[in-house]
Amino acid sequence: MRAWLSPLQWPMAVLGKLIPGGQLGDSVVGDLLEEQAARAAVHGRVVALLWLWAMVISIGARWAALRGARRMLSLFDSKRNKKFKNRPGDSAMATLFHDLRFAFRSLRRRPWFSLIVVSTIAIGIGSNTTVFSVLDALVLRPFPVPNLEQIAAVRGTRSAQGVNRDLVSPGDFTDYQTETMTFERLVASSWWDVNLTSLETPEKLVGHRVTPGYLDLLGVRPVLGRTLISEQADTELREVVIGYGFWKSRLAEAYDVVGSELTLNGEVFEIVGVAPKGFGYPQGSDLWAPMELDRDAASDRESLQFEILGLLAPGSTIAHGQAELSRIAQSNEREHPSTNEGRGVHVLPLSEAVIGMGTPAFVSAMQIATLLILLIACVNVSNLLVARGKERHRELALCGALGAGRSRILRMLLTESLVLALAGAAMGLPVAWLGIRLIRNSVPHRVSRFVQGWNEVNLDTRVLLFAALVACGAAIVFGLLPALRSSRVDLAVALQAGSRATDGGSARNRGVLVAAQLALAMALLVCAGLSIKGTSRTLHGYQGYEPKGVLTASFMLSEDQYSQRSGRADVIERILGEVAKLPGVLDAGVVNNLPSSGGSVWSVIEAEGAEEVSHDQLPLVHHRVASRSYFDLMKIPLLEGRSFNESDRFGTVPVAVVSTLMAENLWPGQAVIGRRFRATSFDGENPRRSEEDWLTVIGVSGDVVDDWFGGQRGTPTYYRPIPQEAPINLALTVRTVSDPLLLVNQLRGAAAKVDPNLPLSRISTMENVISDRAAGLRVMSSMMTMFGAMALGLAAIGVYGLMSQAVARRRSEIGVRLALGAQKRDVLKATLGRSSRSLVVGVVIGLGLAFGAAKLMASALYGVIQLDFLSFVQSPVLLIAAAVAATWLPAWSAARQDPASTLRGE
Amino acid sequence: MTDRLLGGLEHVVLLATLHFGEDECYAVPLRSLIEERGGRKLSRGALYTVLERLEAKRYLRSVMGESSPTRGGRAKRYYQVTPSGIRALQVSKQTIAALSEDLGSALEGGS
Repeated sequence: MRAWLSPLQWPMAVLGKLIPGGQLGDSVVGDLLEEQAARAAVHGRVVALLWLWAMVISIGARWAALRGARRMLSLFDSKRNKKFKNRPGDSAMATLFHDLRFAFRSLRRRPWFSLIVVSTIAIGIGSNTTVFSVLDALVLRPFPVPNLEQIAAVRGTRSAQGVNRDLVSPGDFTDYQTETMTFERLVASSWWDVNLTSLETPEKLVGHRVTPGYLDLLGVRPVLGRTLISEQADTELREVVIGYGFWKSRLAEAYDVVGSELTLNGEVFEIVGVAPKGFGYPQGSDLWAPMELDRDAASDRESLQFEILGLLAPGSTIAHGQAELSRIAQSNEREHPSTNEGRGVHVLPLSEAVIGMGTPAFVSAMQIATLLILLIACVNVSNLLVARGKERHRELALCGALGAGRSRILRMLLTESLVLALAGAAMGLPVAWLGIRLIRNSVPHRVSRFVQGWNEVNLDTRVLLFAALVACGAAIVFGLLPALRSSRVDLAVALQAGSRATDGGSARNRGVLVAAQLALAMALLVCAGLSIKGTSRTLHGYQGYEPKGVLTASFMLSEDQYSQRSGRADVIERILGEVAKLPGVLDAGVVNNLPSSGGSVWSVIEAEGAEEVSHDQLPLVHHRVASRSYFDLMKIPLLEGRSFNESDRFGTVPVAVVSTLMAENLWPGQAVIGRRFRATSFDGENPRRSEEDWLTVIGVSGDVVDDWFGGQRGTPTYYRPIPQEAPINLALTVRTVSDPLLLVNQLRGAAAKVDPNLPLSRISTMENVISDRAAGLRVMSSMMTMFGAMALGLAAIGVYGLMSQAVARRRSEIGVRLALGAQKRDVLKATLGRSSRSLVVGVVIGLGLAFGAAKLMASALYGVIQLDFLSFVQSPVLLIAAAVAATWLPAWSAARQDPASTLRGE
Repeated sequence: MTDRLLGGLEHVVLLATLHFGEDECYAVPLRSLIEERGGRKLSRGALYTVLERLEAKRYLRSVMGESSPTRGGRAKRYYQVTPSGIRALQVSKQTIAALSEDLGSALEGGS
């Protein structure tokens, strides 16, 4: 689909421009490709590609140099004084070629200068292209739908709890669907936990039941078969569309799967189609099956289970949709106050809804960082070009003397900047290519499958355009200012032997540029430091339990097989018994919802004897169901009272252990043991609110960090014993003696012994669960580290370049001072003293900028980024050290000069 | 032209080319031969420019050969030493031999 050169074609295209064309050039390209293939077989493709680029540069440079040398020779031939004149007969093309040749030649004469400028631009453009590509795939077009902006997501809100991305009840959905005028179509999906049992090894999958037209609305074009047929949706036909990943991994990409059968939760489904690669909406789904909406469903306003998508009618906007659905929601609130009080609706663009809560923060932090890099790169390059322009006064004066007009010189200099910028852009593309691969590979597939569009992260033609535009814009900006200044050359003055450019105003400019560069680099360094610390704290910091040495696995009990609570409690007990018997296992437990797993079951609770408040103002807390062994096994401290024991069975007094935070919130400063509260489950299953549901607090546990946005204390939580509640979705937690992953097969075996049709899924260590949860953070902190290092390097290069030029200009002055008896120390001090002012100014402004940027990051990544004093000390120290080193080097070399030789040169 | 002495690298490349038969000698094996038997590093850029120069001096001639998928469909360029190339080598050899005469001890010592 993408008309894009492959990584191999790029270097070849570049080489083609540098060497003679025709058969000779072709044979050279062929030779290189042949050797590249041989190298790829031995050292891998990346090494081979890098080698290829190195060869392109070395061969291209040699050929270009050869050509340049030949031209140089011909310069002396005859009638060459017209070199700089625009001859009347010259076509625009000829002039352009001439300018280009001139530019190449003059850049080649200063290889270090050209290299620094080109690589600076390459870093700036490469990092921006990388981030733009990621942003593009994740945020701008996560679905292959042509009219993405016409698709909206509809979510429920509960104003009292501050929830605005809630699920919607079937009853409300039915009302929206029948009454809407602004939406052409509304469709819904609901989460569908699936146990697959018809293949050799049973497996737990993520599926969704969807209403008619759901997949078509998202533009899904199956790679095999068809999508679900709308007309047949309400018949009893069980059809299912399977995901590409599932087809590939479990069905071996068989082309005859359409029409074959799968047993899902004990029912037989017919596969009718395979979804395209990369499509896994919502929530990394593997399966999509039709949902039957019957009359009962239409009146069900209790269970919140639908995610709604809508296709806006032509001419309608998100705002229209919001206004209309809000009206319907309000009338529902009036008509069904018992269920709908406090419930509203939130309509937002789908592209906004699909990106995870952390993604915008992640992307914006990266954007800020890359923008800073680009700014530093621009400052750097314009510094160098301005300084260079001054150096070239005499050369340009010579051009003028030979008859070149001002516009001609201006054009020559502009061409030069353009060549630099384009070379930078060309080099920036491999940088971006590497960057994108780095980002893509840094997130494990088990996490990235939940990020719609992640697999689509790639370079594409629009990014090329973007990079080229940035490059040309930069060229005009970089080139114009110094060019304008350089072209205003006073011939007589400039041509005088030994004349020096006056240094008054430019010293101040230079100071400002150095300060600006240091300030920008400082902001980046501080942010990098903060994000590294934040990520490390999230991964290795306080969790409230001990994740090390714990193996976890999810499973789901079949509702048909274990319809009774006692049956479920019994089978859980038997599984735990089998697992505990395994060698190397210290203890085994279960919980309905692992910490840091991203899942959550919320309950609205009400304390006994508390003031009467309306239902929507009751506190929202985490609701966990755990086995007796859970607290000991996870090493969650029990601070008061007791944990669950044998006496907490079904039929005895309903009990709960509450977390410290919940105890403090509900009964501040009071005794907690023996207090009672009751809960309404909001996970869509049997909301209950009755007299028997009062729960007695028997213990208080430590707090557990659940979500990196939640800060150090986690979320208020209460725990219920398995025999009294026994949900069907559970996670095993197993504390092991040695490496937890050694036990994976035995664990599967133990579960199969109890129930051969019970698949364990998502087997992972607790440490991996936490690290997967923070995958985005890890990407961000490694990117920020890279950006910080780039900024530091760029700033050092920039300061060095400017300082060495400044010192060079004052070389003879320093020589005179030395001859008159100044000490080296004094010279050093004077030179460093001059730059120390810009250094101090840069650091002070930089600290201000860094503080602002850090605040922004801290608000975007609440709970992760914490402003700490140390980061604001470490980064300046690092930066000042680099800047002082960059200033000291040229100053030292100036102080060491031999005054006699300098004076002779005068 | 033939009385002009060959450059060092030109000399090496011409000699190396003679080791190959017709339709055998293109840049890749040529360079490996020089590096392996000649024991000296040779950059590809240098080799290509020397080949181009030798062809311009008519000491070498080239024909386009077959292509293959690993070469991205690009043809090989086979080189062959021309009679005037051979003559240039002979002249060089004679010149060097004549000048080396009676220098045996000086040239053999050390390594």
